[in-house]
Amino acid sequence: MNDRFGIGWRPELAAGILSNLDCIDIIEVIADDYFTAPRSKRRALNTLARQVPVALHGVTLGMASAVPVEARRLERTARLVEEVRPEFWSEHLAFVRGGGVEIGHLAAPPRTAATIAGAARNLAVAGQIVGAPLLVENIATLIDPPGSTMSEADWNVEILAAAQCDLLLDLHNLYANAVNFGFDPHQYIDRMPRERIRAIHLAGGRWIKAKSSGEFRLLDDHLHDVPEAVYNLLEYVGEKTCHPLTVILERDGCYPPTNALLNQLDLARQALRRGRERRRTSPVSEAA
Amino acid sequence: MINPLELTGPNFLIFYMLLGTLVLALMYLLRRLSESGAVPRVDYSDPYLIAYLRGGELETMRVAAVSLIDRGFLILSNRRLELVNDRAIDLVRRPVEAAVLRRAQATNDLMLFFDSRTIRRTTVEYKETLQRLRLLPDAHIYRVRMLILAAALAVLIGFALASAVTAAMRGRYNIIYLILLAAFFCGVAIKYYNPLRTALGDALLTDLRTLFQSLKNRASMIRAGGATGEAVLLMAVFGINALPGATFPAAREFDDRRRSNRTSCGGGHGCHSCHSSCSSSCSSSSCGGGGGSGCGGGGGCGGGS
Amino acid sequence: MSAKFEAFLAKLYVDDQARSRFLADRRREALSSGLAEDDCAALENIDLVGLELAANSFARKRASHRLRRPASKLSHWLKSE
Repeated sequence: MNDRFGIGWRPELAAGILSNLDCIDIIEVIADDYFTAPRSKRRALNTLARQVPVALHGVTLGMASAVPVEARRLERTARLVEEVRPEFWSEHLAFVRGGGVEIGHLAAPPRTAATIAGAARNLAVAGQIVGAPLLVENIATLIDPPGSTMSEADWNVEILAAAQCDLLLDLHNLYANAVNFGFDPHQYIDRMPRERIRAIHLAGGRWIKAKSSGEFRLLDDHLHDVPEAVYNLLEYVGEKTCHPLTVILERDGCYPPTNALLNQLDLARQALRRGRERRRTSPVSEAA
Repeated sequence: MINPLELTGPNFLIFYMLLGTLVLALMYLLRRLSESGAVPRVDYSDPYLIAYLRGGELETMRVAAVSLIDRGFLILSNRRLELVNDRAIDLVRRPVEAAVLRRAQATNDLMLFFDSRTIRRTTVEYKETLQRLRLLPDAHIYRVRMLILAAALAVLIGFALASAVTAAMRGRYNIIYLILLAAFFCGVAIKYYNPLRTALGDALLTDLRTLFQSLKNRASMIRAGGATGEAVLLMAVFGINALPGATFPAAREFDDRRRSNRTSCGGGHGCHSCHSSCSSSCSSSSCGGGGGSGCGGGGGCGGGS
Repeated sequence: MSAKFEAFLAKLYVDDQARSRFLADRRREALSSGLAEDDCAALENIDLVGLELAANSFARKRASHRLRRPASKLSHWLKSE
């Protein structure tokens, strides 16, 4: 089983990543960092892509919206994909703007039939314009999206059914949402069409407190190590899937030494291996 | 159509200057065209490979020496490099580092330190690897460069000779400016026909500098002691000058700008010894702890916190 | 649920004053934005804790983007090749 393990490319991690490519199978690059980058930076990205497989990860298209994604944004994604030739590219099931207002981050849209239809339409158009294999990622949300008429799991399943793309399952996003809104992440994983889970994100977060009520919620800030609960979910995914997965560690700041990040990749390898082993040895799992 | 050989005086000199400039530009373009190509896969786990790409064998040796000082294997004191203890040789991984340490056993004089066939032999593998990747010129590329140079010199000298003969036939013997211009352009052509790296090598080094720019920007935060390897990587890509002198005093002593004699040893076709001058003593850096880390709201899709 | 609803949410997340007005009288703000009745009803029951935390998180994310952005287009051009 050729699972692959990689890390999100951040300039601050360049030295550590490039010195340890023997331990890294793939690098995920934030596409938006390169849309308006100078030629030298894009050329350097091409050089990087010749050294190690690259995946592009977009954050500003706003796919899961009743509003169509602007064609010009898709076209610049297409140009970057054409240049870099990534293994795949991915975006989020989120909206990022509305009424001319830029939210500045990924926001969970209302989980309704309208946003399912909008997401499916946007994903279809994206597939036509960009051309490369597209994965969509579940996002973390601190707010239960107002106006929602269905659960996150049902909403995601409906979008995957309507769209010709696979799932990038972010396990910390799933974990954070499960903790914050009280559902079982294992049941969410069980609801997903397993053959459509192609990639995994791992990250960490921290608890934040609302001033008004004192309530705590888990923020997916990508500034902390991957918690054990997320490795356990990875093991569960390994048990439930029988095809190779690409597992990517995300870290956006508070960077530890490279060895610590590589150690987290090793923990991920071990977790996925345990899940695969459990599937192999369990007759119940084989039948599932 | 004007026959350039008929031109005289300033008109002729202007023409020759334009011709010389065009020849040099064509030399450059032809070299770039013949040496370009797809970027190869390179093993970046050995920083000395990158150091060799950037500066050749001497630079590789210097980077190794500064790295060994930083990591406490060598001490630089009163212009002398000294081994901390003989066991240090067994503790290093890279042959070039072991060779530098062995050299410190044999001689401490910094002026003579890098004049060592033994150390240079350990860098040959880097040169061969880089030549194989077409990042440094190999014999074939060198032949092409020679051909381009020969053609350029043929044009420059041939035209100058033809002009001189034509002028002599017309009783004009004041050709000193022609000789000076011809010598100038030929000199430039000879000086720059064989740079260390190929066009592909230049492109890769430029890309590496772009990829590692963040490392350079936070050079002041890199801790001494070599625990993370960031210092040697920074030196390999950007030069010893990129290390902050306050944290890495040895870097100041090896600073290119302070060295009184400086020679670059290129890949391919001969190298001669180089001397470094150190104007003040320096002790080895202490071993630091782990690599630095910083908190920041970086890019990516993590929530703002 | 429509583009108008998403636009209202975006403004709610980003505009502190709009959010204060909304928290003071949710239904009125929703109605005055031209939202449909069921949208207004949904907003009356909005997750208030989540709204506070999300708005703060988005604000910090926008601030971090501004810090990473070049000071001016000219300086960006000068730094490029």
